[in-house]
Amino acid sequence: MSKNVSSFLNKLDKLNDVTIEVFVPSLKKKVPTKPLNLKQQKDLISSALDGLKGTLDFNRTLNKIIIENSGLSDLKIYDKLPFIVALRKHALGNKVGKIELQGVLNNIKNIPLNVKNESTIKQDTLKLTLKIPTLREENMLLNKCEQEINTEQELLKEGIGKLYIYEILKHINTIQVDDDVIDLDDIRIHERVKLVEKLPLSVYSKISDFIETINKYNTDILTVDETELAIDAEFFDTSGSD
Amino acid sequence: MDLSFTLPNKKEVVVKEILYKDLRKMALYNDSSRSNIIKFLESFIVTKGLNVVEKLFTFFILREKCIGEQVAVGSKKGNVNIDLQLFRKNIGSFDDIRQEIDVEGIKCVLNYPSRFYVGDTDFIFSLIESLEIDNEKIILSSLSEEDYTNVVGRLPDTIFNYIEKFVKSNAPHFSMIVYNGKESMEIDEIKLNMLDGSLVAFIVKLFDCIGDTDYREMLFVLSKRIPDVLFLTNCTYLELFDYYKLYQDEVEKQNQDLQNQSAS
Repeated sequence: MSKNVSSFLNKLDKLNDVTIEVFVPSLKKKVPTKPLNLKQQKDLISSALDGLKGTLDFNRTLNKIIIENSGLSDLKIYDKLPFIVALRKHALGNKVGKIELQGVLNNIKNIPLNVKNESTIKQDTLKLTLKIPTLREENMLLNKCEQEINTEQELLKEGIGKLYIYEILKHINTIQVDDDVIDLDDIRIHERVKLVEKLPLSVYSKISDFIETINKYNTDILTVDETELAIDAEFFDTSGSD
Repeated sequence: MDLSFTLPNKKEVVVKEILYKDLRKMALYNDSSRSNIIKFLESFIVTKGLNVVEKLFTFFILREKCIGEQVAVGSKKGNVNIDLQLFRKNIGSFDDIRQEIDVEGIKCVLNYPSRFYVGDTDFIFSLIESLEIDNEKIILSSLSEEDYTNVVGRLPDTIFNYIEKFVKSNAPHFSMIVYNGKESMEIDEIKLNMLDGSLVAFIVKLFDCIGDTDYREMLFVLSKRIPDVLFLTNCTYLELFDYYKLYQDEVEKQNQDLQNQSAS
């Protein structure tokens, strides 16, 4: 790095020496986080251009930004929304359409987090332990899923099927049949997919119930005056907001 | 050999000649990504800090001086040769769209992009020509890749709003009609936009003038008359084409002389 640029970067760092406070449900406290920078905002918006792959890319980019800007590597997926909303509010203002983001931030503080971090499902000799994944774990799976999803439009149905499997997969910690226990973190992702695809349908439904507790929490905090805030790439686009 | 010339906006530009051996690389790059090809072509521009409009004009002149003035354009009736001067004339001069903004203590100058779009949306940051804090100024296009990434990664997101507005308000300036099309010849209009891949596709096509088989054939034929192949590969395409025509004329004359001798 040249001396001139180094000195310029120092000046930029001084100007950017701002942090915002975000309430983190898993930690039950506020943590300081850096605001979005220009490249991060561009990365979020540009993911909107690429269909199903774009949706994965958007989520992966968001997770990466949250981890990078907060410096916390063990945040759970239900911690995501507070960061998203606080970063957006700081960058582009309080209003998105008719919704005031402060209302969502108030919900985050006031609505209790009724999500269990672990759960167990038993069916005959099959036992599954479930978990709430961290943002880092989710990103590993999103990377893999993105590689497997074809952008061709005719394969959209297949792509959504894969998304569903990965969604199920990220919440499973261990699978036990009789005395054999497999910790999913110990095996490769494509092997995890094969295992999950072999689970009985009734187990899928119980896993979905577990996932639903997180979805319900997210819906509750995103709802202000009976309107649910949509979080997509447009949420970070200045031209899309009022 | 370096060549220097003046662009329509009076900027002095220095380039390296594109030699016949460089066209071999172009032929080999044929299956490579546009990003690799444009990077290779940009390596011939010695002058740093040009924006894409200035680079386009530089490529026009480089093409004229090293390959020739005629460009084959596809039509429904086959390829038609068009003079590069016509492209330059159609583009004409570029309006000054330079805009200075002040964002959170950073003086930021927005202008035509300095990078070509080849699929990476990061290119949009190249609309930022320069940044200045407390009288310390940096020109983004003159930074190394590492420094560029470091600077862009530290800029406040509020600049995005200004870039977006700048792009919207200057949209007509980012597109240009290079050729109006000709109905009688069934040639379509050639319209380029600096913010999408059309500009790079057009520039790459300008220099895609010889296939690998023709490359070898021309050398093979000329080496019969000029045995120093190294000399040949260090000539420009334009020079080789002249030698090729001279050799062709010479062979034709010899054949004619032989025919005349046999007749007498």
